[in-house]
Amino acid sequence: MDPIIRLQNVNFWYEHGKPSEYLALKDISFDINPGEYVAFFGASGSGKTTLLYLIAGIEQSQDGKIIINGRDISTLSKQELAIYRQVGVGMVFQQFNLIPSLSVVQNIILPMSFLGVSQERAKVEAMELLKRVGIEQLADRFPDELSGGQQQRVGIIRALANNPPIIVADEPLGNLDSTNAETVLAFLKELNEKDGRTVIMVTHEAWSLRDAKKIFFIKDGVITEDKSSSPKEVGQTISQRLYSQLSPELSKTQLTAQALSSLFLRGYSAPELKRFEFFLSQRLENKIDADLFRMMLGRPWHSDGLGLWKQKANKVSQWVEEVIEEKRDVESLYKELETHPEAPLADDVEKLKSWLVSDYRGELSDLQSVQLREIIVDRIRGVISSDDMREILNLPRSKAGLGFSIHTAERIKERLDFILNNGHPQLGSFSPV
Amino acid sequence: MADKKTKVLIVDDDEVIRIYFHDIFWIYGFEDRCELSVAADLDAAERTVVDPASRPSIVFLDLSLPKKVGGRTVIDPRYSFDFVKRIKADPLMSETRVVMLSDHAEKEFEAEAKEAGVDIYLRKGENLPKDIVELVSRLLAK
Repeated sequence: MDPIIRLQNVNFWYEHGKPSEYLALKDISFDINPGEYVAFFGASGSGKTTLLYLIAGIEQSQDGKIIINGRDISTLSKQELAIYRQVGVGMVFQQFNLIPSLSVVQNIILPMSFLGVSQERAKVEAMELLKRVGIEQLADRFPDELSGGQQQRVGIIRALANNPPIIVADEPLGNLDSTNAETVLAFLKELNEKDGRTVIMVTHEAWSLRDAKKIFFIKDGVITEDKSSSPKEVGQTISQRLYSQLSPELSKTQLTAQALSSLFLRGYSAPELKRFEFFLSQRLENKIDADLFRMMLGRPWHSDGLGLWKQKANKVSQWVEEVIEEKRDVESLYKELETHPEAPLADDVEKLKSWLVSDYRGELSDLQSVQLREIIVDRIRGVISSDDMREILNLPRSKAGLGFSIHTAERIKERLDFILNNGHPQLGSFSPV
Repeated sequence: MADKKTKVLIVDDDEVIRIYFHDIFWIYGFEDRCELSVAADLDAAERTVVDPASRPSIVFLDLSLPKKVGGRTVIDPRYSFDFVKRIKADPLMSETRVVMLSDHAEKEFEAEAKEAGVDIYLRKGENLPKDIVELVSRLLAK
C-alpha cells in the first residue's frame, strides 16, 4: 500500500535566516498509510504542532518533501495549497477557531462556499452533518452561546464539510471537560473506523492515545520512536517510555514533574502547566516545603501563584507529599491518573456552577451558563474579587452582566466565598451532579 | 501501462475550478487510472482533442469559455455547444463523454446542451467534493 502521507527529511526553522533562528523540526521522515489513526505525542514545544501544520498545508516546507498521495505539496502554489486545505485535509483546533460573528451553520458552510458551493446546497450538507452529531438544534446559535464541548463538535463538523480523507486534530481535547473529551475521542474514532478517514492527532495527554494505532514520540523536533500497537500495548508503551523518551537528558525530578503536570492539571493552559512544573520540581528537590508548595498552588495567578482553588491545591499537594514520602511510586500514580484522569478545571467549574445556582428558582440561559462558568474561573484564579463577581452577576444583560437580582448575586457570591476561603468539603458531597 | 490510463480533459477559465478538479483526481487517487490535462479556453481545448496523443475520452467542459474570434476574445455558450457537437460528430471522438459545468440555472441551457450531445449537465454550485468523486468513479467504471 502506498502511503497517503510521506515526509522525507523535513527540516523546519522559525525566523529562518535571522539571528533568532530556531530549528523546530530536524530531519523528519515517516509514512502514514490511508485509513490509519496516528498520534504525535510530546511535550509543549516539541514541534508536533508544526508537523501537523506542514501536513495540513498551513505551513510550507522549507527543506525536505511532504508527499501527499504521491505529490509533494512543498511545490504547490499558494492557490493550490489553499484548495488542498479545503479538499484534502480537515483541521480541528484546540481553540475551536469558530468565527464568532457567524452562526453555527454559517461556520460549517464557510469551507464549502470557498469551493463555490451554493448556500442552499451547503446548508443542506451542514444540517446533515449537524444531525450526525446530534446538535442540529444549535444551527442558528452563535459560538459564544455554546459550551466548549459543543463548540468542538462544531469544529470537527466544519473540518468534515468538504469530506476530506485526512483529518488532523491539534490538541482537540485541551479545552474540554472529561465527558466532552470522551465524546470527541469517540467521534474521531468513528471517523477513522466507520468512514475510513486517516486521522492524525497531536497530543501531550497520554490517556487520549488509546485509539491511536500508531504513535510517534516527538521531542525537541525529532521523532524519537514510532510504535504501532494495539490499544492495550499503547497504554503500556506510554507508561514505559514516558520518562526516557520524552526527555532523556532531564533529571529524574524534572521528569517526574513534567510527566505528572499534564495529568494533574488537565484542561489548563500551557503557561499554567509550565508554572506548575516549576513549583513541582522545586518541591521534589526539597527547595520549598509542603506548606509553601500548597500555598503557591492556591495563590492567585497575578501574584505569581497558580490560582488553583483550595480543594484542588490541597489534593494535588497531598499527592505530591505521598510521592515524596514514598507512600506511592510515581509509576503507579501515573497509571492511576492515566486510567482515571484528575477532573480538569472545566469539570470542577461545572460542578461548582451547579451547586452555586442549586437553589436559584429561575432557569439559566445557555449564555448565562457560559458567563457564570467564566466568572467562576476568574474568581478561582483571583482575576476578579468577590465584590467584582457580585457586581457582574447583578449587572443587567444589556451591560454584559448576568442580570441576577441583587439577592441572588449576593447569595452566589457568598457561597463561592465560603468554598474558596474556608471550605474543604469534597466537591461531590455538595454537588448535585 | 501509461497508454491504458483514461485520458481526461478539464476545460474551465476559472483557475479555482481547474485546481479543484485536479485536486480531486490527485487526492482521491484517480490519477493512478487517469491521465489528466487542463485547458483554460476553448482554443487550447481544441488543440488537445485533435491531437491523437492527448485526445480525451472524458471531458469536463465549462459552459461559458473564452474563444478567440476575429482577433477578439469572446465568451458565448454557443461556442461550447459547437465544440461538443464537433466532438460528437467526429467518428474518432463520438464515444467521448462530455460533462458540462454550468453557472446557469435556466432550463434552456440544459436543453441545448443535451441537444448538442452533452452527457451530463452539472450546475457548478450544486456539487460538493464527494459528489464529484462519485461522478468520476461512475465515469471511470464504464
